[in-house]
Amino acid sequence: MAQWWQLLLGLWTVMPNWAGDELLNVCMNAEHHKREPGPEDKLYVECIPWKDNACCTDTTSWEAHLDVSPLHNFTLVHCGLLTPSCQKHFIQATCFYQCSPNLGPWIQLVDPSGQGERVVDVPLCWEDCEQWWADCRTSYTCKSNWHSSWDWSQGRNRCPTGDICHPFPHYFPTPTDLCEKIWNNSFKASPEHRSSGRCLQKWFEPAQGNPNLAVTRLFANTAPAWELTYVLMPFSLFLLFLS
Amino acid sequence: MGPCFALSLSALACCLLPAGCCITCDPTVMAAIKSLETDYLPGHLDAKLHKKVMDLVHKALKEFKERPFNEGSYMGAIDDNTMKQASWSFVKELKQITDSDVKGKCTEGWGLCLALSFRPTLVGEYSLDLAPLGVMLQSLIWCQHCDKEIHTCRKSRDCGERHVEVHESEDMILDCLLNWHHISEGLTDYKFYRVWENHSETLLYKGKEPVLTKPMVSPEDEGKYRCQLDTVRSDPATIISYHVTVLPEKVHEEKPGTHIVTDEDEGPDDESSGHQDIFITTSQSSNTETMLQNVLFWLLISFSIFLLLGLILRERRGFLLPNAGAACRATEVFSERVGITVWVGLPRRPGFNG
Repeated sequence: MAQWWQLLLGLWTVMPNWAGDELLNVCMNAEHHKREPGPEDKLYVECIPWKDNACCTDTTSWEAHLDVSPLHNFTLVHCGLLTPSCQKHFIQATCFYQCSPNLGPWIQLVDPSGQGERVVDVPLCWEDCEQWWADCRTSYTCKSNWHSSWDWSQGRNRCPTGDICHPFPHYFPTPTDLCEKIWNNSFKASPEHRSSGRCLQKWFEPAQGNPNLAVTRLFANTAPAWELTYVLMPFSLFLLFLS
Repeated sequence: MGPCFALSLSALACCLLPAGCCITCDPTVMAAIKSLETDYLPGHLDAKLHKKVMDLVHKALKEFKERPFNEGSYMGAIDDNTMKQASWSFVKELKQITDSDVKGKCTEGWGLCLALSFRPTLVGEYSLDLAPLGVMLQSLIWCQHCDKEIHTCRKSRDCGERHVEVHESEDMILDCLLNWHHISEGLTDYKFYRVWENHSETLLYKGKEPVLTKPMVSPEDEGKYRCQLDTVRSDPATIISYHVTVLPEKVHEEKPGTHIVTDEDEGPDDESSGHQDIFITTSQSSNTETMLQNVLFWLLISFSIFLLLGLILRERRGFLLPNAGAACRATEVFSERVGITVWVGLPRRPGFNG
């Protein structure tokens, strides 16, 4: 019986790692994502950091840079042109969403009955949200929640009548509001800083390598351990009972 | 008179929309409005109405900041030239109003308003029309905070593929210039590459010239080429691909008789491709060659007729053959017939007299 225990113990420690590896390098099942992450010959400008291992194709990387992107048919210029520094953050965020293979632990089904997936509450580092908010202070928008209630009558999202264009801080008073309400809580504003290793960066210098890999590994190891614990506990109790 | 004056002023500013709110970014405009308040009004209006007038003016200018955005016309930013034009217009009109007698200018002011209101779109023109393809860097002034920044106008990744046909020994010209290149910022060099079958590339030229000329092309020059205009950023402004086909050397125009001989010699075995080659070369030249084309056509028709006659004759000879007893003669006739057939089967040479 002691052998059983040893086996069980071994399983208990190894299983989380196995499950974790599945989440380490994976693409979500969404409209423009590749099935598997892999290297790309070339990606466009802001998406280059993910060249070595990406969930996006070259075409997707180009489309991420357009004012009215066919990726989600959403126009960023609903209140006039964004300033270049503000627009850059949106492009980087789109590249991160479309290209990063390190979002495994946060992938969920969009709809329980369907197949499509999305990410929820990806923890973005404090600096990422701060800088994004600061650079968009002089740009304009007309809604505090971009998920719903746009006027789609003319094929593209327009400000609903009565919603006036104001600078970003009017509708997003804090960086947290910006990060979280822009894409329906796909992102979460983490209080952790970039060097802490407990938050993801939405962009990084290609030369420095992808810092998100280590962070995802951390989250991947802790997350499924809980589910397995619930399985292994009754099993081990059962074995105990048998012996 | 006071409110009327203010109305015409604000109408003026209104007319200059969509530059209306943007002109407040121009220091000359602000100076002109200041001078209106401090220099003009004291001498022309009761003191108690000054504030009212200026309030109206400032309110009008402020209201234009909340003008609704419209994709295709007002996008919140304009370029330098348009800003200068709009400011200059505004200051000029203001000066006209102040230089002349304000009394009775109200209706005229509205007239000016209507005239100026038909202004073309600004950023809409540039970003939507003048750069239909490619990536253009534009220096724009954002109206709300008067900052000048470079906007990247992305329309398409590349600017298409062009098919270029050039005759052997002529010059090949690859043109990479698009009409909006002269207004784009941050452009560096034009680079021309030859693209090989295995997708590797050779740099042919790098510099400021948008046109690449290669004199005296040979059939080896046929293939794919690419032009790329780079910017100070990492993404290029324009990429154009070229598919170059080298056609046979153009035949020079000569007298019809000699011309026919030349073309006959060029005609290959296959009748149909021979037709094709001849038609390609002749169709691109002058009327003389069109005429020659007709001549050739009739010659071919007549030769076909000869051919048919030959076949008919052969058939008739077959009928006239006696029985197998005269084997020797039959063989002779047969060989003769074969000879004729072979002769007839030779490469068609129109006008060949057997």
